[in-house]
Amino acid sequence: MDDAALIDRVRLQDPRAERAFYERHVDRIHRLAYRMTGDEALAREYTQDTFVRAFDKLSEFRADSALSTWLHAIAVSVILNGLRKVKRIHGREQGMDELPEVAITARESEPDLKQRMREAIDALPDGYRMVFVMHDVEGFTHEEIGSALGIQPGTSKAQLFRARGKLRAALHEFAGEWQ
Amino acid sequence: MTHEHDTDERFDRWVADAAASLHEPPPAPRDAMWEAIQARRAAAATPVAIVSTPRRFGVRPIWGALAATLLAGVIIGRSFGPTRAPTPATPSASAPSASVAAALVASPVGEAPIPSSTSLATRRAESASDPAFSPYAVVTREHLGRVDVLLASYAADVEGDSALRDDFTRSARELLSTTRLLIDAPTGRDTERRQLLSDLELVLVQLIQRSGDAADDSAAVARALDRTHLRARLRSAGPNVLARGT
Repeated sequence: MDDAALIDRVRLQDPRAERAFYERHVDRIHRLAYRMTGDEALAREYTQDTFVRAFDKLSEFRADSALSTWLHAIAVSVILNGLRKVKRIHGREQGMDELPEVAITARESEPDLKQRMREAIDALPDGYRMVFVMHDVEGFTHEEIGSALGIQPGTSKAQLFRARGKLRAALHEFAGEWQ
Repeated sequence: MTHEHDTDERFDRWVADAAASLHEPPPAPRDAMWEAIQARRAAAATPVAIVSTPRRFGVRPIWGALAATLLAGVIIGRSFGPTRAPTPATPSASAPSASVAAALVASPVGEAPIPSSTSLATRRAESASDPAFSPYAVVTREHLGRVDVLLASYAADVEGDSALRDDFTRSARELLSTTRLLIDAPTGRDTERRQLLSDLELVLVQLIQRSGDAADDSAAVARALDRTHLRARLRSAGPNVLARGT
């Protein structure tokens, strides 16, 4: 069944179509949410938020973009807004407790390079990180990213360029290990 | 130059490959998430059903009592004050929670008492038969006017003054609460109006969540305003749009 037929049936509140719609897209949404958060609970929450919103707004879907693009636009909005809230809360918690226990554990158990790379990627501004993860890790095109983020494909390219530049600068001391 | 470019490309590939192994997603817990999604959708649908039943005041006694009191004030004002054309009200900084509560709980038409004066009764009947005069439509219209003023002040750049920004954020929070009430109201079924309110909600959340000096946050707000054409839609949301679905 193609997307248009599936949407028609979902709009009629056909439970099987709703589940089929979910099954068709859930893995990719969950992967993106996990890549961006690195946290299972947050990834689940953001994935669920995305589908709750999608079902609520599906009647407004106009088919002027691909269904997956529309769905990813919702997911990106949910994830970026969610991350902002998490950072605010995390910032408050760090004021009380300088170094979170989870960070200490991770630092001890991983090689320095891998840890530095994780930190460098996590330190990217959310917008840059989203573009980097979507393009370089998850294989989205700049057109797809542009539609999902509400930006021009050229802007997506520029943000990826800047993200890579920041990563290069953050990891320059490891040059010998990858060349 | 070429060597440097090649080096950058190899570096980028290396980072991308390595990044793929970081935050490697586990299999999506499909069934558990589906159950959670269904539960949340069911929960979201439930309050609408309860509020739309005749027993709503019994189900939500505090809300009902508050709304009844406020509704009485609204009715008194409308019955004994001059009849006003449905022009957008002058926006103020604070949200009209009282009138919103009354408008959302009151039936859109037909539940208001008939005034004793014949002329008032005639005018009242005319108003009651026109959905553009329903409490929901009037409150929505006033609300959109206030939001328009808020967005205009944002466009005029409140970022430089911290006190002004605090006031701005406080007003945005109040308007966000009202927006959510209007979206959730059982009388607000029209798709176009719901879309307008939903877009409005998104922009208000972005405005509230933005950091003081974060250029990315301001850019996100600007992008959302640009993408949704929100200000133009606010101004063009005439009585027809506001009356539909009430």
